[in-house]
Amino acid sequence: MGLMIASCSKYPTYTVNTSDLDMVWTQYKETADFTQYKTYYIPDSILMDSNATAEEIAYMQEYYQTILDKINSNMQARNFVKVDSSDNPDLGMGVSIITRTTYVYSYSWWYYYPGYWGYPGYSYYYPWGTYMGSYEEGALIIDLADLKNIDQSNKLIDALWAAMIGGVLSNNDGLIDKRLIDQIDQAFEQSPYLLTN
Amino acid sequence: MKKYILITILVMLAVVITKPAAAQLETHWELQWNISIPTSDFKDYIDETSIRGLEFGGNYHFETNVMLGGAVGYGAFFKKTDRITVEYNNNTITAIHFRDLYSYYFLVEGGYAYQSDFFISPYARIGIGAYYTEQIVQIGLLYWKDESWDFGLRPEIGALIEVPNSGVGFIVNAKYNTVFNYGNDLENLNYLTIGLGMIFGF
Repeated sequence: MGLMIASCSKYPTYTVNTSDLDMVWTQYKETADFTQYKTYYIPDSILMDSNATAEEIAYMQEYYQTILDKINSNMQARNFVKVDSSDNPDLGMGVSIITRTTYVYSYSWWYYYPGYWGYPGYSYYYPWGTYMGSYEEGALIIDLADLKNIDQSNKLIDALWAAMIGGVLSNNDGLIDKRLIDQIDQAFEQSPYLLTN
Repeated sequence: MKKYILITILVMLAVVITKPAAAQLETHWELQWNISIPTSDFKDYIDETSIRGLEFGGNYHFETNVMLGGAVGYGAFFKKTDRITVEYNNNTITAIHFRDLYSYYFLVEGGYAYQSDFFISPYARIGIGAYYTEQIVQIGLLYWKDESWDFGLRPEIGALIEVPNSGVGFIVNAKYNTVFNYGNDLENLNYLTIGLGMIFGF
C-alpha cells in the first residue's frame, strides 16, 4: 500500500540544483553575413540594471575585466579585430548585467548602447522581431550591433547577435554568480556562424 | 483509427448480444499499480520508465465470459536531460531540459476472460476513451505547460488470479496505450504499461 501511495505523488522523481537552471541562449540575424565585418568596439564598462545598488555595482566591477577578457578572446579567435570607437568599427558590442528579479528584456533597456558606440540619439533593435523573452533571475547579456550598415534616415542600428546567459542567483544578495560568467565561452561555441576572414 | 473503432464496436456488440442470455455473475473491482515504459517517439522525448501510475476500475463478468467495465487512472513520466544544445530558427539554447508528462485516462472496457477450473483466468480486453495529458517543459529558466484532451485506445492482456474462498485476488497485465494525434512535438503518445494489483469481488 505504501508503494501505491507513493504512486500518487505528483512531484518529479529528479532533483534540481541551482546550477541546473543555468542557460545560454543566443539569437542572430539570419540574413547577416559576418564575413563582411572585421573590426569591433567594446566599451570598458558594463551596464547594470537601474535597480542595482552601489554595493552591487562595486561587487560586479571585480568581474568586469574577466568578462571583457573572455569576450575579447572569443572574438579574436573568430578573426575579429578590436579597435577604438574613433576607428569607425564595423561592429559594436555591449555587455549588461541584470541582478534583480522580474525584469523584462525590452527595447528600452538598450537605450544607452548607441551612445556608447558613438551614435547618440540612434535606436538599437533586434531585427528578428522577437525578444529573448521575460525572465525572473540574473542574467549576463552580450549584444553585437551592426555599425557598418546603419539606417541613417531612421537612425536605427540593427542587432546582429545577442547572447543571454541566465540562471538562478544562489547568493542572498542578488548578485550575479561567477558561475554565469564562466559560460560566456558556450555562447560563442554555439554560434559558429560568428566568424570572419 | 477506423480499425480500432471497428474492434471496439465489435466488442460492444458481443456484450450486448450475449447479455440477454447471460446473467451477471459478479463484479470485480481492481486497484492497480502501473509501471509504464514510453515507446516510439515518446521514448525519444522521455526514455525513463515511470513507476508513478495508479488505476482503479471495475468489470462485470458474464456467463459468456465476456466482461464489460471501465477504468480511470494516471501515469506520470519524468526526465532530466544532460545539458544539451537545441536550435530553433535563429535561436540556440544550451540548458538542461526538465520534461514532465502526466497522462490521465478515463476508459470504457470490453473483453473476454477465459474461465478454467484452475484459479487463474487469462483475459484480453480493450479500453477506449479520453486521455488528458499535462506536459510541462522547463529549459533552464524557460517554462512551458500544455494541456490536451485526446482520444485513446488501450488493448490489454493479463490474468486474474483468485485466492480461493477469500473474495480477493490478484491481477497482472500488460496494456499498450495509444493517444492519437497528441501533438506537442509528438505525433501519437504511446506507452506500454505493466499492471500489478488486487481484485475485490470474487
